[in-house]
Amino acid sequence: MNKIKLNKKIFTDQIFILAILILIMGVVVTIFNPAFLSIKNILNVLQQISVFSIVAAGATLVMISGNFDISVGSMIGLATTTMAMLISRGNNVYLSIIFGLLICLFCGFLNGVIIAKTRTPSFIITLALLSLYHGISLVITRGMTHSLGGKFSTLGRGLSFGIIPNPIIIALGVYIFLYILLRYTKFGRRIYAIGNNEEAAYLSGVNIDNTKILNFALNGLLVGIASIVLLSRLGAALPSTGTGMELRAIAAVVVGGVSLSGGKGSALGTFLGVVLMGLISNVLNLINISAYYQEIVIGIIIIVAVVISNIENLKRK
Amino acid sequence: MIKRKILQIDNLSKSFPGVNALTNIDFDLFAGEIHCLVGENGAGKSTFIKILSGALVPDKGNIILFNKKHSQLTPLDAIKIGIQTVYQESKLAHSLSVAENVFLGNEILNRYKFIDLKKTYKKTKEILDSLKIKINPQKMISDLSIADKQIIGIVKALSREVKILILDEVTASLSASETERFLNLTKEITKKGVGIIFISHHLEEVFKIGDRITIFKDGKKINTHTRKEISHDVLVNEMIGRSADLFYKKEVLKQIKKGVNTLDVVNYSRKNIVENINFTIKSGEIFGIGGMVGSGRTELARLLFGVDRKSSGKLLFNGKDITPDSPKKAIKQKICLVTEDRQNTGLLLNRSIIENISIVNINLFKGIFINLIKESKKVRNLVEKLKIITTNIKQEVINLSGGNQQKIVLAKWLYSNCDIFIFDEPTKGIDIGAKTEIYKVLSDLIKQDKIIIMISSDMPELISISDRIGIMRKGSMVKILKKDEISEEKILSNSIGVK
Repeated sequence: MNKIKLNKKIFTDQIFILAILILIMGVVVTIFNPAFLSIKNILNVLQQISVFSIVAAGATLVMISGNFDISVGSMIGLATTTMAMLISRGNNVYLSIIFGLLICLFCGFLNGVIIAKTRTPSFIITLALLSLYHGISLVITRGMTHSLGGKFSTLGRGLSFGIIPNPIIIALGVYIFLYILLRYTKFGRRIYAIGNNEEAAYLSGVNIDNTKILNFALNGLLVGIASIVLLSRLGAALPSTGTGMELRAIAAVVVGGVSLSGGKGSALGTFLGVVLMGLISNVLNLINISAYYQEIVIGIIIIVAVVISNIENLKRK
Repeated sequence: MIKRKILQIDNLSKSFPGVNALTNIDFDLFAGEIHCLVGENGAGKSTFIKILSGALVPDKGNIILFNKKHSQLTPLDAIKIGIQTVYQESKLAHSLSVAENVFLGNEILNRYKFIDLKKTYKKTKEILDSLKIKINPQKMISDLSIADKQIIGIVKALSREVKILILDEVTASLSASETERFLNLTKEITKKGVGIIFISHHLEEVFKIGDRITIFKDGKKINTHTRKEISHDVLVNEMIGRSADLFYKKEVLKQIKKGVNTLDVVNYSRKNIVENINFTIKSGEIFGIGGMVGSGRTELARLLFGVDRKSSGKLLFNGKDITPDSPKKAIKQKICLVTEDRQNTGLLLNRSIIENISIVNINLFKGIFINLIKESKKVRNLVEKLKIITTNIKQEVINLSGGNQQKIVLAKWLYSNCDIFIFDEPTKGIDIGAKTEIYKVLSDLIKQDKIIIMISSDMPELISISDRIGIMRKGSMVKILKKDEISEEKILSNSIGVK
């Protein structure tokens, strides 16, 4: 009896399904285009998703606690343009990126404080803040693109160990951090608890407000790291840099098994969700589908992936 | 008078992978009869009902309804035939009125095919009047008491053509007087010729209204008795398969020193909800709190634990002021509250047993990390000690039975090693076996000089467990009964304010 149960559990496990999906996709594409399996292409895929994956790591934290932060895209816009302007005007590069990091940390903290202290739904508050942050970056840039003029490109474009792009290393670091945070820390336990049943968590002595604020601030920190890597890679920024990334991150996180109502999810799941989304883009490029059609295909594939990974809930009903 | 047999079940069996949920069950029901079904959790009562209401397909056996043979039912069949089920937690739409809920899914329409509210109210009133229920059909469900909600759940079932009514643990969250009202309603319904299958953990109710009583155990039918021919003891014997007393007899703890620790509750108030509560508890005793649901018992517990804001009040432990203003601070002062509603306020349903048991106690680890090895060792000990039935402590608690879930809630607080335990309905909706385990925990806590406050609506439990009982009415503690004063009558008369 135990054995039957165990097998069933594995087959309905989201991470298992994702791994299989990724494997199948890899095999099929390799048959059509052997270039897919080359180390160069794999590193390419990982490099493509690295910034996105860092944003998704933050979204994982926020969504496990049962919240959303959809102001992330405009936080990226605000941070990248501010850093670009500071650097292009000849300020110290390191001080400039630390300033960018602090902007995101502060934005995240502000999101958290408003949401926790006013007990309002995070979705609508961060929607308002999305507009606010975007507006600020429009005002300070006057809507123009600001280039770094070739400075500060090593982080985003350079290689470590002569082969691995730096952004991959950073993203990997972020995921190790996320894994440890969720699995081994008190804070990780608390955000799962809040996402699962806030009332029960409160009655068990969890300080709901502080945990939420810290959680949003951590998300801000991760967004800051993503902003820095993105800016270094792009070499320029405008207020719309990062627009829409929050929604794609939410999609990837849900594909990776985080419940929309919170309380569930893991670092590995999100990572696989991000990889799957990255693979889809890469495959569409490899088989030469135009960028316009790609958007349509990605939309459809996200639906399919979410439905498949949600199969357990479907059965329950 | 010869009664008409409306339901007969022959040889019904159902198994799930690895479990025989029901084995060769025979059962019958007459028109106008109340047939009670009793058994411990997991005895197969739920499976049986699910088959009758069409939610499950039996492996074999016949269901003969009104002389027509069925090998299985669909939910639609069941409704068409006139089988309606009301569950412990009624599924009502809270933002709609009583009448709208009664006719939800069965709306009364005018000739333009819009809902005819006037007629809906009128019809609902007719049904309510015919059952002598005084509830305004235009009232919002969210404004009703728990008991009234349950009653509307039944009225809803009755608004359809109903011949067989299944009541599954509907009295579990009702206080004594509400239950009384409810049982009267049930009897009223049978006068219309409806056959009722009544399931309850409260044996007094079963003895009060049952015409016949059937006992299930481990998926098998043990026996069917008419009420007159069976005694409490025999019934309990057959339910649990061993002899036991219906009233739990507390261990006589002579060696216990009373009053090693003292808790003073001084002047606790919350405007319009709880008024000026004062009492003192010594370790070595259990202080029971009785009263009707809504009398302020749960609210008092929440105030003591620092959940809600109070307008006044001090808590003194051995003379030292430990008044908390948040659960977090209460826990720091070694107070714990085992809440009434384990699903909504006690458990993280979709998380593992480990995470549930240790959520309060992760603070015991220094720094930011949790020592997973230490943690699972501690949790395993508690799981063993409380006899929580599970194959894996990483199992999600949503998959456990009610009794096991309640033990998880207890384990969570036992782990944290409190001085003061507040229990709010600790045995609600769980079977006798699990109850006994929980009473054992209480005895253990007494031996450890803990302060114990227990709120209970279960009269036999309250009487047999408590050393003193404080009675709440309308937010005040109107009376504290000493051990030799405690009786069912005294508790009731003080609860409802009759001298």
